[in-house]
Amino acid sequence: MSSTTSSSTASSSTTGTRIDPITASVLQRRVDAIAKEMAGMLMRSSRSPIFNEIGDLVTVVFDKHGNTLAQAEFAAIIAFGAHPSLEFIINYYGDDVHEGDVIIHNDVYSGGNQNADTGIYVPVFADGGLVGWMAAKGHMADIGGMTAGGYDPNAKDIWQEALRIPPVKIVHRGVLQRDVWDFIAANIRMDFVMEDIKSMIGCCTVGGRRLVEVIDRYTLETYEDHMNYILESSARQVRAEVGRWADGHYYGESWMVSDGFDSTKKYKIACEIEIKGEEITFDFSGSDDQAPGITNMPPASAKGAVRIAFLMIMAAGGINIPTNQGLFEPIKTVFREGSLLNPRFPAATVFGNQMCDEVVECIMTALSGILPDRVTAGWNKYLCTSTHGVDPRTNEAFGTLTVFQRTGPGGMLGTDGWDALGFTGTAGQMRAPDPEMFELTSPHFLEYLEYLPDSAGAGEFRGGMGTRTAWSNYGEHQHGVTLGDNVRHEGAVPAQGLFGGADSGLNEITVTYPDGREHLWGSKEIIELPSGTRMESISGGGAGYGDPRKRAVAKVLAEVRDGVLSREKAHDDYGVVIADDGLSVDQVRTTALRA
Amino acid sequence: MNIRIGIDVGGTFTDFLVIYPDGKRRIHKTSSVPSNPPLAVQIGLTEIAAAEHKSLEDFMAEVGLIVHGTTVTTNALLTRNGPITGLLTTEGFRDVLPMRDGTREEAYDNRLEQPVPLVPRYLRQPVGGRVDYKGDVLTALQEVDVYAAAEIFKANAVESVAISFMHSHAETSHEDRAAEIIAEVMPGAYITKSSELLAQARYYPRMSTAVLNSFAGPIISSYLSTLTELLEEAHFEGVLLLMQSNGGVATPSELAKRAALSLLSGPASGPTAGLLVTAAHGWDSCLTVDMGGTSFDAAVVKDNKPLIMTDGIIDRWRIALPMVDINTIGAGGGSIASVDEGGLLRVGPQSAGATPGPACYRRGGVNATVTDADVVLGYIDPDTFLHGQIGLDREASIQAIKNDVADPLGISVEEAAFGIYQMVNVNMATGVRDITVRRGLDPRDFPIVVAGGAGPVHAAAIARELEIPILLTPRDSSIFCAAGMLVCDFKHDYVQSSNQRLESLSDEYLVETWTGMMAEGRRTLHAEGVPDDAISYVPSVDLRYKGQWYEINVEVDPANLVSPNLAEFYASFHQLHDTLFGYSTVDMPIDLLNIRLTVVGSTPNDRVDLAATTPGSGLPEQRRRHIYSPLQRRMVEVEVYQGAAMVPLDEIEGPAIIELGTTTIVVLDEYNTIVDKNGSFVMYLRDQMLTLKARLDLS
Repeated sequence: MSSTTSSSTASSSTTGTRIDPITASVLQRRVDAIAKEMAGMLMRSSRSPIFNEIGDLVTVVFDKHGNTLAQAEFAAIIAFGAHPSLEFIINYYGDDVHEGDVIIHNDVYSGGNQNADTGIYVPVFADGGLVGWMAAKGHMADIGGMTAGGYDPNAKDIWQEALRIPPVKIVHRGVLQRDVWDFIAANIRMDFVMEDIKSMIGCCTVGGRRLVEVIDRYTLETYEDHMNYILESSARQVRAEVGRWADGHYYGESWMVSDGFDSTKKYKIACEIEIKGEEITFDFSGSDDQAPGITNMPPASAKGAVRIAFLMIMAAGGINIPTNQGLFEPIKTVFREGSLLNPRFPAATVFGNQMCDEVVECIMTALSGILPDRVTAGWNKYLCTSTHGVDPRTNEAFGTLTVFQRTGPGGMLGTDGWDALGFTGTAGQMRAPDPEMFELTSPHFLEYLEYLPDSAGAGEFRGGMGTRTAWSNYGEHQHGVTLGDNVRHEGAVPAQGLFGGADSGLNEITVTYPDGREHLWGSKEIIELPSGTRMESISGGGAGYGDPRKRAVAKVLAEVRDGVLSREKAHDDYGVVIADDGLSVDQVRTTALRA
Repeated sequence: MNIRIGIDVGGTFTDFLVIYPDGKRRIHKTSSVPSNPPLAVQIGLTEIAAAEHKSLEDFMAEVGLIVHGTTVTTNALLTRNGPITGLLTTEGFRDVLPMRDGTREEAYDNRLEQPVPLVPRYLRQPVGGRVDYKGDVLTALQEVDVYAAAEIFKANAVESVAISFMHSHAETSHEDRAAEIIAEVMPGAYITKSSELLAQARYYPRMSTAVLNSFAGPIISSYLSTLTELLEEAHFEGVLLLMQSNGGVATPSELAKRAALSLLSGPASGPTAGLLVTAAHGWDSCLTVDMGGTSFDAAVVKDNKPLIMTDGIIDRWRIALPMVDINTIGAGGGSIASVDEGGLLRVGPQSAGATPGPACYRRGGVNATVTDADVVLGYIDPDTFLHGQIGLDREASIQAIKNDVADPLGISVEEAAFGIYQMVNVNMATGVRDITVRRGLDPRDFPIVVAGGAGPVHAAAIARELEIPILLTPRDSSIFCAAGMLVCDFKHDYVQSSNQRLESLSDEYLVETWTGMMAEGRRTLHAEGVPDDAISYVPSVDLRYKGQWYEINVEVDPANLVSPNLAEFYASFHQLHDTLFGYSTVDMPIDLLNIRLTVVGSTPNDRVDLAATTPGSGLPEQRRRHIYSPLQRRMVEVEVYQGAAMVPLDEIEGPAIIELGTTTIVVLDEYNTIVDKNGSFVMYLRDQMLTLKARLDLS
């Protein structure tokens, strides 16, 4: 239909459209709504619980050059990983991109962030030309490789981890390439994965349709010029903010323990940040060399982790910027080739996304000196398990993530860490399986799932609490694999507290086999799980911020009353003496202790 | 005994719609009394009686039906001014409530505070005993734990208890026994069994709903007993019905049991009221939009029924009871406009509310708001706003928009105001689109019914966004919800979780489950005075493809209640899935998650006829003023009509303004507006005049 709102007075000239900031603002909302509608569709139509229950997916609207215009984020680390793959795809195909094409991609050596995070890319055409790209990317329940689910800490190269899919057209000019489709399906263990791919294509198709509607309404030129303006405006906003930060060089580091082969080996992740005027560079060259196994982070994933930390620092200043490409234009990242954060081909990399916690910790500690009111103390480095097998109730394959195991985020000035939130890489958007649904949909019995008392890192603003959980299985041919860090028996290095706050807690999973044998599950270890195995897990809390003795006494008392803080810890860490009734504070002794 | 009264208690006003046996109606408004809500009802009724020169008692003796909607529980929840509530959970799961679904509302904002649960941890008491997902008892209920918890509750002055155990959807005996013990030890305590309230799988949603129910229970109970007493004192001998959030009505005693259904019940009659407005034109479907000072509500009515959701959120907590799906977004007259450092305009979600309010209110607000933009654009007349009760300061609007938007963007005040207008319209249109497309519906298939003080100012522009050609604004939208209440049916929803593959579902089991629900529904409706011949049943099942996480509610023919035809279930599911998600997979097994039944009792059939009294006296004295024309992108001088004076079939051409006292209808250039036989203002796209007028059937 004809439009009343297109910028008819802001008429175009041969040199381009006059930019109307109002039209730009409105367009930004429209494009954002497209990404959200796509995500909604994908969540509701997909099969894998990793998609729809846990929300390990993202949908993105790109311009024709592959710049991110808007994204609907559930798993932040994937979200930012969709872009480098598209850059590769655009270079790879050149002009050979047509209306009705659908491209699938997962390969980490051509821009992917993790092989399990597979993307569908659909070019959008209007007025006879390419006008943009739609993408849906998510963590597939299986993507081939030597182990169901793709997580195998014994992997030493990329071929063992997954079916590598460099860009491939599975639909060409609207025609499904049945041979390619069947080839991919033949390499994936679970049939519903292909159904999920259909859902992804469906949501990209709808997104493309919506984009064309917007372009029809505004004209292509108006649309493109204004979207460029929006990208520039995000960049301007970031520049203005970074310009206010003190110039200089800042250093932070974090430690990862265990590479899947040597469970006590320590790896340093280090970041040197340079702020110069309105630009900021994150240089990770000081990080250790790449590991022999899976604990390597592809640059697409590492870049995503930097962006997550950066957005957290912006949000803490009350600055909300649409997450588009412009936002990151003033940000430079350096990852040394051959290091943990830019491994050489053909290194295995499936653990890379998990190293987001380390990257974020580096950045937060580095900037704590100049932005004490923005940074967050260390998030406990996340640990959970992924498990696959056959459900004896249906004789069908199942796969699930036990992401109800939740660690705590760090505290920050003015705010305690959110209890049992978990992993930085999903930035609080990863859903936990509902306890009943976990039992209904996989062969498990969940014994308990609750806050872990005394787990919060002490501080004036304490870390978020971790959790204690226990469950047992009755699946057949079942195996489980951990993907995480901070495991106590491996000698983990906890995430750092800030300004006198305590460090984060640690994690531990104790496995009891049906024969009574016990095993402490390593942080990156695949094990068989015979029917009747019991897992008992401790997930530690986040690190604290500020001197615990400055914490409001009433808060300490309330937590003792609630049974999440022991009287001993109240005394030792917080200098608060709780009376024997457990309901009141011994003011005199508390004052003396806190003096 | 034939007078009917709809009473809608809002935050500021309590609205009364009185309908007399001859169809005449009276609209009355009185100030709400937030500290004692029933008082406003009493005052209003007394005022109405006085207007009829009758005593309250004489007037009330003629009243046969009062339908009433209240926000008393919603307000108590939002202000956390409610009973001390305790919770019994399965041992090991006492933190399921605050953990919610494991996410937070903002991804990157580490400053965002966790919501404080309605029940603190020391009152969330774990109880031993375990039932598995099939409903088999694995370990017996540890009654000693229940007794111990009850002592703790008593010591802490707990008035209300929610009981929610793992898998109680499949086996209720542990919750039943625990409830007996609590009732024995704590006589008088309000008790909610999650299995009785909502027998469906998913622990957090069921637990959260049970807690909300126990929180709301004592509040609504005491409110209702006060109200009932007060009506009895006034010699009221008719029927009192309460609005529920599922869009149906119930008697006070039924609502008191399912108190959570009173949460968000306020606007739940709005969509049904929309049908009153569209009925004159033969539509059984519509969108309703309601724009007030701080928020914008959108809902869909399809085939005479408001759309229902089971994943509602209130105050950051899940409420999983079936509720009218009303999409609320933070866009209203008070929404604040600003320019970010990148040079983009933002509008909302921050709101100046009523205090300090928009800059033009001169109540201390300095930020530019949507209302300020409407004033600058001439859509709102500063002198006649809200019947002239609040004189608005146009200069203050100009100054605020200049400072906050125009100067930072380097554009004129007028352009800036129009920008604000566009932004808020796009936000609202997105809210409407969300609620339709996620159901696989096309908004263009529906007329829009517009309510709320700010609604008619923006509605035409929203409709343009959505390519909707027809909008209807009732003559007096303040009684919109009250009118809707009078036509809502009794409605009770039942659910039983039943996790199995559809192909293995036995007819006997299905019939047995539905028969049990029908019996309970009948019992409830009989107790509410509904005879058998007024009862109907709407059976449905929640289905999904094997391995999917989200189920789809599929309504099936009532014939299935007696002899199920599973082939119909399969066909309907595949078709609905295709509508919603663009594909279906015929050879994929289908899983059943829940069996549902909605039991409906029709209320008396003499419908509310909005046509009965339409005042008016021909085309009015005319005034003119300048408004902004989006089409011409400039201020233009237009006619200002007094809506009250317009009679059926009066028709005007846009651009024009229709003043209604409590609101203003902005008729954009492309539209005509004609008054229908109900007195509603029907705006339609002029370039489709022939088709639309034929469709409207204005005779």
